[in-house]
Amino acid sequence: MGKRRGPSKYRLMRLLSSAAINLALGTIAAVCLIPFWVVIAASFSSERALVESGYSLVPRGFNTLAYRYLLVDSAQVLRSYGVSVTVTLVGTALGLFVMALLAYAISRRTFKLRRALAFYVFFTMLFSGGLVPSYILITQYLRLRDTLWVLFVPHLVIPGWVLILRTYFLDLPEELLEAARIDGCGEWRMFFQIVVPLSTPGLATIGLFAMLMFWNDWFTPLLYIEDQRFYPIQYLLYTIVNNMDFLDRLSQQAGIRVEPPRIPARMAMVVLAIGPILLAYPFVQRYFIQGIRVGSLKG
Amino acid sequence: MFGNRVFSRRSVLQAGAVAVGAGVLAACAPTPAPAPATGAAEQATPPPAGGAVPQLIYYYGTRQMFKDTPLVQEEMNKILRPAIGAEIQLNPIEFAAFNDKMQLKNAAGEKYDLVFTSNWTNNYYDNVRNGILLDITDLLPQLAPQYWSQIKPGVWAAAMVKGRLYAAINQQTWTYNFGPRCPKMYADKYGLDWSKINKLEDMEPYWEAVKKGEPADVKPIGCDDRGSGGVWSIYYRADDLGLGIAMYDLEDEDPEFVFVWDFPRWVETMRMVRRWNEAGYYGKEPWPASEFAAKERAGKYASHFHNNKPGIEAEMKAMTGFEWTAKILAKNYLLTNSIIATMTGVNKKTSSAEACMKYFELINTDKVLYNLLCYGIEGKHWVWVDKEKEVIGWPEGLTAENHPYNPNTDWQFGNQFNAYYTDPSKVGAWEATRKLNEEAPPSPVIGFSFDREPVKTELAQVKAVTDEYITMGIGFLDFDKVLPEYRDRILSAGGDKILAEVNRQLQEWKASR
Repeated sequence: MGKRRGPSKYRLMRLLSSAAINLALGTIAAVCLIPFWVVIAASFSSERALVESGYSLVPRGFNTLAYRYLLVDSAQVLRSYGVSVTVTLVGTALGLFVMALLAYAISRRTFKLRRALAFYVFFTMLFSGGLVPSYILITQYLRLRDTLWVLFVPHLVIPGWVLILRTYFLDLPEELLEAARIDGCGEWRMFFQIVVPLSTPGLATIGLFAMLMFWNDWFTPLLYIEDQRFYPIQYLLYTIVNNMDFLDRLSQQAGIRVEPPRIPARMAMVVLAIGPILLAYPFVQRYFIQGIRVGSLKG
Repeated sequence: MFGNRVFSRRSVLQAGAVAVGAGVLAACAPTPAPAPATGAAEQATPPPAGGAVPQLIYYYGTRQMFKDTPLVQEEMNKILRPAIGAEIQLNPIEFAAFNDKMQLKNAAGEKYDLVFTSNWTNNYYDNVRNGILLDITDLLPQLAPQYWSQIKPGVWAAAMVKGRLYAAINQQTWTYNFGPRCPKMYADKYGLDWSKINKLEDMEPYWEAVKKGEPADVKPIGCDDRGSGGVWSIYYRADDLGLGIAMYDLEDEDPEFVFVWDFPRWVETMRMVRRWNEAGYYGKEPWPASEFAAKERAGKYASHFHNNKPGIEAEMKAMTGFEWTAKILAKNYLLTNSIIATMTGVNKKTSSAEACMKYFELINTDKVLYNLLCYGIEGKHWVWVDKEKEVIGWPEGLTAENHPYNPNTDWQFGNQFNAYYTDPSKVGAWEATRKLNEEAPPSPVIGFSFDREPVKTELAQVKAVTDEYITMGIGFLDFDKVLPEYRDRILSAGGDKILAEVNRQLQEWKASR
């Protein structure tokens, strides 16, 4: 029994230190989570309470008006979610595929045109046609206005990300590919079975970027979408909230008694827009860890 | 800032006044109206149904998309096809995106026919300068004679650029109708008698009585930290084009812009306002602008200065729940900015300029067609409340949330005075508004509009300064002490450049007239 003294002191210290670490990490986690919680609380508060007493952790004047306001046309909201999800999934998959192929080609030292092609990619980072020529190209030549295509086709290749991927591929030992070739491996197989599995962290990073870009994009629809069937969720929320400001001013003048819940609706918009994309993080994180675990070539 | 706080958008919104109570939808009466007085010429060519008639593509703003827009379009075309030999394609774009989208369409040279243009979105002068809009100076009087004669030549002149007209004006409230409005409970309690009030100073005994008789949180004059509650420049017969730092005299036949501090009536007004403030009529401090509406609804002021257009008492009552009383104390003038705030232009690439003119004639004279566009289809989107007085309401079961067609922007589509009333208490307001418009003399420089582009930087710098001194207009700064400092800061922010530029443009405009 005398034994217990030593270890118990030791255990106490361990307990204390782990408590301290947990407390510190917990605080940091809370600091990250609290703003988000405040947003959620605000989205359930009444506008008047927010104006008068500011934000708090508990909703003041609890009500769901903001959500009811945003979700009035629930069929449209669902459809917009559908548009966003489709565009994000298809856009990310297709974009990642095209960018990876392009980056891989310009990373291969045996490819003759790699410098020219790399320069071409780089060049578009420095010089672009600008908004109006892009608009003319997309609406008048490609005739993509008011289609689902316009939401992801123009963003399939982002030059900066291609260069990041290329750097990633450049780090792959050339010997590895050579060995594969000697074993009779074709180019496609080499890409899909050797290069891609070895590059999951890089691909996951770019994939996450792409996913966020497609999910958050409201500017492309602002330019090219007039048909409400193709409104992605971000753009739908953007128009609802912006039009609400207009309605508010209009109603003051017109004497209609509507008080659109402006601030709560903004918060509710954040909550609605953020939802599904949150799932992307844990999903993608797997690949970061996996990537690190994949060993490289033996010396 | 202190002066004319009525920016263009505000006057547009005033125009939106129609939809009182709970917006209502109007639509075409059951009989497809025969084209009134459109030249008989077109009658000769009744296009076969479904045949290739010109399709007028019409872009305008909306606060949200309405799912019944195609139905309304179909109903409109039943009238338009036989009447003008063309069909309309309604293309509403949300106001949030309207300006951006139109700029892009214009830059890309897209083909369309009709478009909403103004000084607050899809800028009229930019469109004229960039050659987007068709010159309709000769076409419009010829093909839309009735509509042309509805509006006085002096008003048409307001929309002209170098003597040429590029857009059709939508009639709405053009005057500022500046004056005090008061909750009736205070007016009655403290014996406010409008017959004795001919200028703002005459309100002083009333304010004094309110200050003595009411708790401290009731302001004799409502005001906020954005300067609301100040005296508009129109009251001392000056127009500052919203610049804040320079104005011209509306009584001068050949005016020039001068700095506000060189304009004696501005200085007098500022001193008067300071005196009121020292007497405590504005309370201890201005409310935050974001709280003004809430304070108003709670009846926390005994008077406020604003645009008291006809029917305002009913509107204020609808908004606050208690009775109001109001009087216009300023002489009204027609200013360029209020007229060009709501117009419809024709794109140069239109498929038929002639059909566009005939459309203008019809939409501005045919009540059935106009209200169809404004409020939708009778029975489906609105019902008569009082047919004789032209008051409409929503059918059972429709609310502001679920209404399938409720644009509520009649000022955007044509002659607002043809709109049905959406609230019985507003019956007669259009007549009164039209009368105010007609009685108001035009500004001596009507048609002049300031192109801000060359002094954009200076304007931004100056605005930063004027924003800082914004409560000067409601007397919270010691005017005589602050003025020299204010003047110096405006000048060093580039105020003199702005003055020189606005006068240069004014001279140029006078020469081109």
